[in-house]
Amino acid sequence: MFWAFPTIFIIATIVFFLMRVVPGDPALLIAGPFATPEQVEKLRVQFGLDRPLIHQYAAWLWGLIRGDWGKSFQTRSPVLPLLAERFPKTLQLTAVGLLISLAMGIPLGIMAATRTHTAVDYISTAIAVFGISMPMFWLALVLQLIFSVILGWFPLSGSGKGLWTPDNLWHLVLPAFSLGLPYAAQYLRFTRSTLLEVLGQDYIKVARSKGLSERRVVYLHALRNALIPIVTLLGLRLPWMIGGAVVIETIYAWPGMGSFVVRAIYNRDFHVVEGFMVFLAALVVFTNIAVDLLYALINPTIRYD
Amino acid sequence: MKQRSMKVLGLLAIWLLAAGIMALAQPRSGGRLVWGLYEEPPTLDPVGSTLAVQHMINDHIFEHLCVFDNEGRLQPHLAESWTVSPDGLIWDVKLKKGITFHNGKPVTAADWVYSLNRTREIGPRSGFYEPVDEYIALDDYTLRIKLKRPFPRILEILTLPDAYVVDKETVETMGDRFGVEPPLNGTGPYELKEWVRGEYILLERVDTYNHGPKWRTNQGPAYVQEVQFRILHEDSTRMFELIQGDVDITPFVPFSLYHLAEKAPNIELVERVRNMTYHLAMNAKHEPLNDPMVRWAIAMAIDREPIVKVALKGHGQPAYILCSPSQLGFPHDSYEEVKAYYPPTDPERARMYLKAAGWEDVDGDGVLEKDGKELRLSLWAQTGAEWPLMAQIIQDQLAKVGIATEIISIETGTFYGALAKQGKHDLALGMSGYPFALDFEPFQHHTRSIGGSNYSFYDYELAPTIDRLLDIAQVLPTEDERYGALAEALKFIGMASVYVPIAWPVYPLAWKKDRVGGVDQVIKHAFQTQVDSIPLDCLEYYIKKK
Repeated sequence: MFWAFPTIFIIATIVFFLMRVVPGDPALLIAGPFATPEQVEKLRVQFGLDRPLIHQYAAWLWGLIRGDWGKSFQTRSPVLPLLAERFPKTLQLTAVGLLISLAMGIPLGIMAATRTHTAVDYISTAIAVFGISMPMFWLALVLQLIFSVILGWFPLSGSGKGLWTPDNLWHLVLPAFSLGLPYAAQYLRFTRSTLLEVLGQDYIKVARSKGLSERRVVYLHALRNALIPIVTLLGLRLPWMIGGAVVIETIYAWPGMGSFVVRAIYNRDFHVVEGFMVFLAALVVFTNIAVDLLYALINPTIRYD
Repeated sequence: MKQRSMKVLGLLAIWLLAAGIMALAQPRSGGRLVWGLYEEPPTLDPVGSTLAVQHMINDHIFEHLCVFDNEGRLQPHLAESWTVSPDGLIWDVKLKKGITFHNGKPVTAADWVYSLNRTREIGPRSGFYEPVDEYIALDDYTLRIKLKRPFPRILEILTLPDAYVVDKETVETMGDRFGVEPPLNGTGPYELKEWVRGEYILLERVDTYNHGPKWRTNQGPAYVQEVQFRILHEDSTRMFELIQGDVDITPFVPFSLYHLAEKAPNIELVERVRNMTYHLAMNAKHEPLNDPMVRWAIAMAIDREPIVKVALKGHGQPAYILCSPSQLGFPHDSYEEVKAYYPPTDPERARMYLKAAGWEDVDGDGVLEKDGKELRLSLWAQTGAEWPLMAQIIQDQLAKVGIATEIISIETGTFYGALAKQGKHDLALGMSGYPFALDFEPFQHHTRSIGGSNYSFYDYELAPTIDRLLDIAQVLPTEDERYGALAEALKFIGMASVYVPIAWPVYPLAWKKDRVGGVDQVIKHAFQTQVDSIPLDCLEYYIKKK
């Protein structure tokens, strides 16, 4: 917990200087290819890019602490509201995608582990291999083609009206499955291998010898311990999923942060990219803290002094 | 008697049929038109960006002093008339009375002074307004433009996509939120109703609008009740939405998806030549490109036909001069004469020119040498789309005359900056253009643009003559004289051969012809407005069925 803020600070600093090192002048990109050097310089002054780098950094950092994350060069409006208005839809897509991946991956993984070398195991393995190996954008396009264009069951793009409304949820189905399915495959394989390892341990043999039902052995004794590495994976995969959401948001025209930040990177909109990275860093740090707390919940023998 | 009744009935039936057909052909009022856009504008504040999509939307909401008519002639719009002092330094523009912002507040000369000063001070195109010394409101309806030097094109320049009239009070009240949320309070036929960031921008018709340009079939209000711009970055999604009918009209359909549009029922797809030109730029500061013989040889080695056929999949036109037919100022009358000054495609002559310049294949490896040094050049190109293929074809064509090239791919965002600032390239494949050739040609070819948009670094031989002609073209009193000087400059630009014209790209527009009417009127507009040939004449289109 103590390291949370220094970690975010270090990431913010790295991102700040990295953005300045990357070739490309935001003023030149905004002014267009036919701007005179004077026009470009005028914009650089407006954006404060003419000031020494260390001054820019200090001003940005001070603003960050006070909740002023700077202004977007492109929109000329504050970064924080721009990110905040897009965050709910990215969070919704990621959360539902995650839920789908867990809801499909863990039960199938348990089934595969408890029925090793049966048809169930082989089929789930095949599904997992397919899910892991196919690119997410390809899956998204295929799902879009089948379920929207050919069958017409789901909307092709957009996010519908409001948040968590029936219309919004209807629009969410395909993007969430496109995001969640590849991760479901990963959870499936991971659950299977972890559970198999736990099921081979001595305390499971003891539980079985005591005459406990197989269901109690698997779900009460084995799964609890098998969940710890799965929860670790969950913590690691969350930022990856937000990265994956960028692709999904673009294909399905989902109005989240992803496509907005990609444009910002292309346009060298420094403060937007920096703000997003600080945000993402905070999310990763606090997710990992949550994961650590979950360990203790899953296994009460784990304690943090 | 019976025969007479039949006649009357027949005439009545014909009259009813004719009336029905006429009613069907009449534009209908109401409905929602949905555009599928490939990009979201960062803001709708006119001084916010130079993106074409932003201007496309803004042109529904804001208006200029003057606009171009269907023949490309400048016509007063919110201006009524103007007078110019004998020395050409004072322009007094009479404003139309009765024009109001969407909130009902009358537009006065003070609003124009505020708006045009704002454009000059913080707009990304501020350099264009450099000849302006001061804007003054003489009275409520007279705007005085004081110039530093005679500049007869000033009103033309004031049709640029940021020179709209905005309401000071709205701008100041909205502060940072101006341009990103309603109201925008312009004077045009639409107002911003809603912007769901990343998803769509919704405009609503202003029912009181009544001052559309005279040459339009509709002077307002617009026929369509609501115009929605949906943001669909992914090309295939945009195309499928059009086919499914959730999008009515979309620009920039990629060539790879043409077949979908062509197979789908009721989709019309048209192409228009853009006001851009693909070119091969040469860095005239690098040896041996400082030798005009070598530059001409390179230009002669380029065969445009296979480039258009393969890299652009046939969707473009070979370009023979450095000005697009869609640019205002293209030398339509003297095209063949201007073209004659550009090196023709002739690989055999290219080899002769290289030999005359001292380059020969001494060791028989296919690459020419001079003083023990091989003729190897770097060829810079952008990543993605048509660029790599175009670079490969040019590489192959140059290899046939003994010039070896190494292709260097650079990300689009940094490409032009790297060319201008670093100047490390020998050859570079680029695309550039602007609606006004009179502005574009100095940007690309004048020596004062070196280090900016002129990445040929050519400042010797013919450069002073080109500079002089381009400068004269800016200040000559009549349009004919200005375009005449520009045509002369284009000849010298051709002779200098530091930029080789390659192709004129096309702008594809697809729409549902059973749903949207009036697009034909829109696309026949000869001078396709300031932006990249995107039809903006929103007063004309209408929804056929709701």
